[in-house]
Parts: sequence; C-alpha cells; structure tokens
Amino acid sequence: MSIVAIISRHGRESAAIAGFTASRLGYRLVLMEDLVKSAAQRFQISEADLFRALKEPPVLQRLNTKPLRKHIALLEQTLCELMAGNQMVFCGYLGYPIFHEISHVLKVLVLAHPAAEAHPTTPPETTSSNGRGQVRKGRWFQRVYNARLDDPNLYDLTLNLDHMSTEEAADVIVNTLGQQRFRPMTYSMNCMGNLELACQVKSTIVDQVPDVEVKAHDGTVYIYAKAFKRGNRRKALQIKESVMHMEGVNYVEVIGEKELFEGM
Amino acid sequence: MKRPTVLLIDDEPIVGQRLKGTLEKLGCEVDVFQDPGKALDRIREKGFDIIVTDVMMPDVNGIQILEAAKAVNADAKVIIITGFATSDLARECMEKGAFDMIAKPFKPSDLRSMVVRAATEMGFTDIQER
Repeated sequence: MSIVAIISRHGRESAAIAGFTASRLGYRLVLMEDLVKSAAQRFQISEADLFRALKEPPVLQRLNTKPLRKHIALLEQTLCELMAGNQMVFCGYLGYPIFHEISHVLKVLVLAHPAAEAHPTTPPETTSSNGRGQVRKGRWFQRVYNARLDDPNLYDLTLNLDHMSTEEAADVIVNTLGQQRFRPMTYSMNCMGNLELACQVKSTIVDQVPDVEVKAHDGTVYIYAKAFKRGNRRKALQIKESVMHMEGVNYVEVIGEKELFEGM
Repeated sequence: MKRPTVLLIDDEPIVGQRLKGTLEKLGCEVDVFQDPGKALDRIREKGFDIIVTDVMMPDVNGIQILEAAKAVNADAKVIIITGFATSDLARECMEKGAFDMIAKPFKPSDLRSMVVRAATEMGFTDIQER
C-alpha cells in the first residue's frame, strides 16, 4: 500500500507524470480536482469554496480566515481518508506535513522547464496566467505550511523536466518506489491512522480555535493552541468535552503553547 | 512439529517478561536477553527464525542486531520495537532488511500479529493467533 505524492507548482506537467506513474503501478490517481470533489461530496460544501481555500491562503490581514482554515482542514482530512487502505498517486500542493510523517510515502518534487517557471519574486503582471498560478501556489504553500514548496530538502526525489520527459520521470518514480525503505510497515500504517484522527479533530475545532495544531497517538489526542493560555480554561474545557465524544478518541490533552515551556 | 525460534531483546526486563509468555502461547520457542551484547553472541551461535529487538540499548543498538541477524541468516525476520520511532528510523530499518517495526507502547496483540505473519511467511503453518 505504498503512496506517491507528487508536489509541484506545475500542475499540468506533474499531473501527466502522476497519470503515467499511476497507470504503470496500477495505483489510484488523485489530482487536486479529485480531492476537492471528494471533500465537497463528503462534507456537503460547494467545490467553489474549497477551490477558494486552495487559492487564498489564510493571512492575518484578512478579517475572516476561519472558513479558509476550515476548508483546508477538511481537504486534509479527505486526503487522509483517501490514503487509508489505498495504493495511491497524489498530485498537488496540499498535505505536505501529512506525507512527511509517513515513511512509506515517496515524496517527489517536480521542477519544470526554466522558461516556464516563474520565480516567486517575479511581479505578477510580468508573468503569464500560468506563471501567476505557479507563484500563487508557492505563496499558498509558504503561508499554510511555513515552508518553501521548491525546497528539495523536503522531498525524497527531485525531478527536473528540463532533463527528462514526463514518461521518463514516471519511470524514475516507479523504480525509486521499489526500494525497501518505501515499504509500508505496522509503524507507518499506525502513523496514518493517527494522522487521520488528528485531521478529523482539527477540522472539527479549527473554526473555534484558530492556529490549532493537533497530534494523535493510539486514541490519545493532543491539542495545542495559543488560545488555551491560563486565562482561557473554560474554552479549553469546552473543546476537550467536544473532542472526547469523537469516535476513536480515548483521551484528550489540551495544551496552551506557553505551558510547553513552563517548568523548564 | 517444528516450532519457530524467537529471540527477544530489550534492556527493560518488564518487556521481556510480558512478551515471552505471549509468544510462547503462539507456539514459539522464545529466548529473552536484556544484554544486547550477549544476544549478539547468541545470534552468531544459533540462527533464530524471528528476532524482536529494541533499538536504543547500551553498547549495541537494534540496528547492529538487525545487521548481524541478517548476516547470519538472510531469511531471518527481524521485528523492531522502539520508543523513539521516526520516519527516518523506519526507513533505515526497512532498507537494512527489517520485517516490520512498531512504536512503543504497543498492545501484545500487535506483536502477536507481526510474529504470526513472519512465521507464516517462513512456512510455519501451525502457528496462529488464539
């Protein structure tokens, strides 16, 4: 049940590689559009709202970022659900922190021809609409995940389409996936289950607690947020109560960011 | 009827005590070691079918146990149990030929399932979860 995650700001080229890879491996292909459709269906939300969340990253300057955060959380939850029990090739720019936690996910960065590539610092008016889209994806990734989408250190494999065709790129991915290190194991499967639960909890509470981070281990859920500082115990208790009743949750620990450093 | 031989290595005595009975109930012949150095000598002396080992131990770590076990018997199934599981460690273990890995704490039934799977792959047909 290995998984390939192709992350790129070049949607068309990386989708072609993902298509070839999925067909060679006999895996399910999931593009961003498929993910949005699944999430829209699963949570009864309009696809347009979900696409908006993928275009406009939540930034502090905007007054109401709650819907955007909620929609991103729901998309990540859907991604986790699609991954569970599936051999899958995903192509897009969402879910990097999820992929990072699972050892049997082969994370691939696709760089396209320099001529087609727009640098993040290039003013939008001087680039084509395709180039603007690439810049937008880079900015979205930076703001949502606080990381640079094109940073090769985040990936297992970096493919430059300046040096190979999309079909050759797919061959490299298929060969790399054959390495033992990408074989699923009990630990990595358990990690997937933990991430799925954490994403479920996050999407449930993210509209009440912005900037929340959730981790889960074997039914124990850890919720981290600045909002849970000492003055806001009541809110922390409310959140704890609501999460305790969720399926798969045995225990909830609510932690204010400040408390992490207390007693050190 | 041939029973699978299992070597269990963990420097915490409670782990060996708890898991030995669990694996014996499956029909395995189980040796337990707390000292990984002595366990390494035993592996070289007798090739075990299945080795269950912790990673962070004094003097000899679980990765060295894994490498030694595979050098003695390439078909041996090595199961890694660790309280310091990371994605990088998981990949390193799989690359070096580990059969499976699980993070501590785990339920004894999780280890039972892994051992049954390992034994079945090795052709031991009389072993099953009860």
